[in-house]
Amino acid sequence: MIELGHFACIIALCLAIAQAIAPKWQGDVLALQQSLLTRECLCLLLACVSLWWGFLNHDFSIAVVYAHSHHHLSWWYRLTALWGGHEGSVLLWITMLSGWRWAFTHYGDFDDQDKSAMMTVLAMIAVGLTAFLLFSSNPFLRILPNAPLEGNDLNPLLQDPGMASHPPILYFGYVAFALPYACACVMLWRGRVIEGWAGKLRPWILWAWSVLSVGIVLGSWWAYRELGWGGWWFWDPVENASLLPWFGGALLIHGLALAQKQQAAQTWTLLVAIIAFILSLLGTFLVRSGVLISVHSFAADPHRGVWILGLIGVYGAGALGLYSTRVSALFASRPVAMLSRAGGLMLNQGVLAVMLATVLLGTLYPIILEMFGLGKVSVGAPYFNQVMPLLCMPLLLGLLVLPGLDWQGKHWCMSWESFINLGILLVSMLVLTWLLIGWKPNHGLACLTLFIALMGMVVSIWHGCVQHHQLRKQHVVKSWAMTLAHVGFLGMIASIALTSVLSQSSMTALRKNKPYTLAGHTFVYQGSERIEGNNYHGVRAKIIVKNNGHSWVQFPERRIYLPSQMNLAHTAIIVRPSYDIYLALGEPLTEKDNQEGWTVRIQVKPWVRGIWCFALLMAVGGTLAAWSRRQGHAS
Amino acid sequence: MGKLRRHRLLMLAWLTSFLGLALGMLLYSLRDNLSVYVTPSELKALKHVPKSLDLGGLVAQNSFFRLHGVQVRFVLTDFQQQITVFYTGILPALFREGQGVIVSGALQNNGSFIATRVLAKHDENYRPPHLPNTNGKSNKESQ
Repeated sequence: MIELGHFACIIALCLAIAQAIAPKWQGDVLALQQSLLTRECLCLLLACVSLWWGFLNHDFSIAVVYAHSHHHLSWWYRLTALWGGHEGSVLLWITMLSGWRWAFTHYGDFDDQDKSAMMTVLAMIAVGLTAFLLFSSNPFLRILPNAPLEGNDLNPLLQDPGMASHPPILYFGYVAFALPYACACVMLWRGRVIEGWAGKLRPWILWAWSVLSVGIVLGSWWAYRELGWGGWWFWDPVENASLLPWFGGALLIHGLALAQKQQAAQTWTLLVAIIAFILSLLGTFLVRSGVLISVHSFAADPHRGVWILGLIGVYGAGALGLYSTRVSALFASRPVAMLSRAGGLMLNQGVLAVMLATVLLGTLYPIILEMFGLGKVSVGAPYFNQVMPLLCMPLLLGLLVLPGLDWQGKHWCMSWESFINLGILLVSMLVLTWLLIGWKPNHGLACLTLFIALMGMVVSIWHGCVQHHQLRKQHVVKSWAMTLAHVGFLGMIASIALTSVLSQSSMTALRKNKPYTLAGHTFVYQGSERIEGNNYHGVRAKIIVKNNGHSWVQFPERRIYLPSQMNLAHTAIIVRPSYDIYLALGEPLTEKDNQEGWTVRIQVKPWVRGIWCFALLMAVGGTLAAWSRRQGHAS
Repeated sequence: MGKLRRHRLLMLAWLTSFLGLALGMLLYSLRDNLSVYVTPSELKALKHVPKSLDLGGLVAQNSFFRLHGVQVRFVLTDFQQQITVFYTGILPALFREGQGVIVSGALQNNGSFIATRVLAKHDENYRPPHLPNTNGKSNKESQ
């Protein structure tokens, strides 16, 4: 069965090559490419199915199955184990790329000729990555003749619904950045602009960016529950790797709006389109090549690193080379009024670009330093925590004045009544901020951020309501989509400010029946018992949490996963409407302490769920925007 | 044309000042938040020890000791030099003797190390960079 998958994958490579050279053929190139692509998709699906078949049937002679599966593993984790390792992830990446390409040829708005040219570029990308799969990270290899009888098990950290769904969703977003890249390459190669390119690309990027946001949320939620540190973002290079394309996508969404509505900043947006795709390749490279000394890096093989670096080099240098030589002839420059919506978007582009550069610098600096033998350093979270909030501020302020701006900057849309409303808003939000957080002199910036974000949320919603009455029906959905996404972003920032200031945490030794108090909650340890799972055993502690007459019984666990003997803390989290109570077990106290007990990490985290909920709202806004644009084109 | 050029010049000036400010801020912040990674031998060889650093090594066998509550002490070794580490807090789940860990903190005058953070890698075969494997071969990642 696995040989069938291997064979299918080789055919897929040939089909991709055929699509790349299809323009040489006289005739209906697009129809040919489409039929080839459909077959390629089926071949790649077959390849995935053959691997899944191996996982489901415990065929440990397949190296990938041996490395990531085990008899004890439940069937759904055996399915998700496909992307538990590097090889399967690349297969997933290529399969998703073929899926996006298929959707693009059938539902894209471009003319046949443009579409076929873009298909050629996309096929070239597919060729490179499929070759990478087959030649340097082949998932179809068998261990013969001495096939193992038992597998190594899936990394226990990945045996979690959040992490099981995280990679495919993330990749689904990453891969779609190939579309604007292809469009940019085609325009540069021909030296001719595709009419209305920005508007035609926008729905695709909105989809990709929204899905990517969901993927990042899932990763953050997983880290919160599984790593036992109680944080939701660690500025770990692997997390940053997913954030870089996300910033690229956000830049592209706003840049394309500028290019579509004002024909401004097109040169810049084209550059962003190229860079966004390079960043998603870089994201894949950073995580899977083992170049990072990071808590997340599961694979370590320099050979692969050279391959991916080569791919990034070819696709990156190729496109950027084209860009540098041909872009100047492509677009006419158009001035933009600074105090207009277009000017606001320019500011947005500048700030987002600097944020991207900040994350990129912090992530790559240690790698570059090490590459040139200048020592080994790490960039700590304080760097990001110092710079990013400051950079956020202009974005928040921009969202605050957004409703007052129109595209040309001809008039300031605000009337005197709205200034009075603004005064009321200012005072009421000041009071709300005071109620939520108070004034913390040490956290002045966070308090200010919260205040501005809250104001922005109200202004955005109010603006949405005004637009609802003013716009024609077909634009109403788009307007609400933008409002939702902006409210989501502002709410996320507000939640981040709240949770980072108000969180209380403690690492302490809980002794039997001796109460411990944190943030008004009393914690009592009442003993522990052994537990047995289907592929782990361990201990769970019984901890009673009391607060104002409420009382919860919690069972944080320490698990030892059988095949790998890996030791994990399984957290217990009480979810309250406005805060979480987070319990993670450390180690049992030793005899010297004379009393039974555990060291425990206890955290009370207000509004931490707001971060994910509002980020999801942002993704919903993006999806709605993509959907409404498709509807607009269909009608 | 003149208007366009002036507009461009203005944009350029605005952009360079903004980017320059941002870059300056970044580099300043980066300088303050870099921590150097060393092994115990490298640390002993350092003439000028930075205020905070990352120390990587293996937790020596039979060296782990719980002092009181969440205060612990263990010895970090790279088979040539060893350093006693003190830490107050919850150790990562993967922490055990013989495991490779990275501790962040500061070297004290008496030669011991006070850690503010302990990281154990998720991979049980993991060795911190620059450390020999147990079979004596150099680690792949150190190249």
